[in-house]
Amino acid sequence: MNVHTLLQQLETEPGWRSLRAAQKALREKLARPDRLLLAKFLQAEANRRADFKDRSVRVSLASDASLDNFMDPLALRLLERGLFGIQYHAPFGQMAMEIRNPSSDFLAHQPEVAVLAPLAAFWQKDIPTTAESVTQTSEETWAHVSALRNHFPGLILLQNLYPTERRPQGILDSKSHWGRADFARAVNLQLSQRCRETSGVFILDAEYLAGQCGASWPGLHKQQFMGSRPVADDLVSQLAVEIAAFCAARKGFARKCLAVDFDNTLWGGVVGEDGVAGVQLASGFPGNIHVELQREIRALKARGVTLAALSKNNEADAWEVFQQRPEMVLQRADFGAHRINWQDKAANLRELATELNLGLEAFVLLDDNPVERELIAEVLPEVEICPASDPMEMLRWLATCRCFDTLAITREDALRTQSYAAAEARSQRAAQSDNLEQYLLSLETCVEVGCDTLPQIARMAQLTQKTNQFNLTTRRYTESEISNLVQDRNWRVFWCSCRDRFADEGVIGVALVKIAGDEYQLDTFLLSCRVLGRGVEKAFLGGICQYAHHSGARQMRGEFIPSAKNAQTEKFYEACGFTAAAAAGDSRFWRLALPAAADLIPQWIALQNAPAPNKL
Amino acid sequence: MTIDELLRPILNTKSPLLLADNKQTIKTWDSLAQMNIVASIEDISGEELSTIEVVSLTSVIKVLEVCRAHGVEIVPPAS
Repeated sequence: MNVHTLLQQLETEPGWRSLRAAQKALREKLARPDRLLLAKFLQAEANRRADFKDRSVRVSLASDASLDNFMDPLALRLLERGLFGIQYHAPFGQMAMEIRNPSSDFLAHQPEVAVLAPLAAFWQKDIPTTAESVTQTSEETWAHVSALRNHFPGLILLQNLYPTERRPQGILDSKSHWGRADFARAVNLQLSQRCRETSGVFILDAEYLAGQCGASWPGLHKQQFMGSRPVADDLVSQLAVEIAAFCAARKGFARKCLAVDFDNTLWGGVVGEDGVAGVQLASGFPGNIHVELQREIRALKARGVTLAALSKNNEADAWEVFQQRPEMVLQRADFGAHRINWQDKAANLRELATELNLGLEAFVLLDDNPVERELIAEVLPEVEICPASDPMEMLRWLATCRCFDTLAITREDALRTQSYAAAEARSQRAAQSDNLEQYLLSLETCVEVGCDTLPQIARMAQLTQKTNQFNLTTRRYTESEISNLVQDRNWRVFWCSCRDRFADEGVIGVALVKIAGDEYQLDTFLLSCRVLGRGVEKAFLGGICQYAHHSGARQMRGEFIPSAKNAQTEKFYEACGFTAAAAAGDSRFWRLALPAAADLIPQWIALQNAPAPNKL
Repeated sequence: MTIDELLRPILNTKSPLLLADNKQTIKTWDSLAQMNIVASIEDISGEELSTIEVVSLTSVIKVLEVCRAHGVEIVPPAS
């Protein structure tokens, strides 16, 4: 790949095509000068092109040393996740000032993600490694986070202390009290504990990544002495991958569904040729790799990733392996949907997306067959594809791809596969029913609407970060931002949960409402796709209208901001009886005089409005 | 690879480089750029440069010499 040719193409083909072209170039291992050139081009892209707005992420970085070698790797790693980074790097030695001054350039950059690395140059200072200095170091480090939090409610990533190769006491390092390795671990444990107790602050685990990146000299490298760059390039690259994963999670681009092939993926061999007893799954090599791969997949399912079976096979043969081979870690019930047939996999993937009510950009494909992978890459470029054919490589990729990473794992994530099973049961009931209303009544749907309560905050933040389709404004919020709104008397934070005779779906809707005089302004209104089509969205809006009316509001204002994904919501407010008002910029507004019509809440839904706490 | 392909992404220069160019003639050739040149040559050659070589990378001619010493073929600028 000649990068100059590529850049010419990018200049003439704006938007998504250039994103894909650049991603393809990245996969072909550019030499550093080309990488630098591409990174510079992409930095300019983010500022220049409005069509990347949804895909842009603003990141501010500050450190006790120079982080200028982060700029290009971060731009490229963000691109790998389909994001355009707009970066600000605090000047050398200015971290303490920049994060404490509310009008600093660091904050004026309006970051969605702030990266702090106050310990990057720690080992260059001559600090004794004692119990006292563990506490002092972690306290001083945390003071930076606290100071930033005073002015910045968004996502904060705190880079912890990575180990050094220098051990003044040699092999006695771990034997002596507070050797350097133990010191780093102790500081990092304290920082992790603080992060667990503080919403919206996450550890950027340099200690873990230094062990993973295979850097020859993470702490003793030339650039540290040439230009006060304490973090080696290998480690920077790993940190950039991690930052990009946080950014993707923050922007709602985490993948949601893993589509898995069966033959030579879940097990070794081809069941149609080798038979159920012949496929490799035993504890010996290489069957044990397939078993381990299944464990990894099951762990993904446990954190809320939907599994979809995608196999060219006779369906009965394929399921027989699940029934008859006790080594199978995954069970048939672990899959939210399946397509096991001889149709082409691109068509099957499209059908799975429709059935699961997910966009294709929510899918990751695990398939050993390069021909199938090439077909999907060509026909469905939105799908992320594990590039490996070898099961060991698949396992490595799946364990480190970070595609599915989210900022929180909630009760609703664990319920997801159960939810798809319930959807299947509902679908069967609908097929048996002649009358739609009778069918909906038979579901015994109960919607609960709550306001300004804390236990649902993690789930609400997750919904704002992940929901793309039924999301009227696609604004993303962190836990700490929502927490601030809960405490703000000029805002109301609504959630909605739903259950019926088939499943308890948990919290599936969020509405963030700003109070402006006698008007309730819907800044955010979204609903998880898994409950669409049953009138839950209207019941939720109806519940909010009831609350607003009882609180003395006289009208509601709805807002719609079009995105690439939310076309289905364009007419939602109109369908709920709102009338169009003036537009401003990308926003279109709608108004409804209160009280809302009684029929806003479908008669087949029982609505419960939980009492809201008083805000003083 | 040409010298322009190696150095221009780092030095951010618009016009082609000359054989006589150096730290004095190109104002973006600062210590940061020098570090990036080191890293680029190390990336391409897969070998680590010595401290003496690192310090010497202040002119196009020196870059060509160091590249050659590490088996990296760079097409020099037309003189």
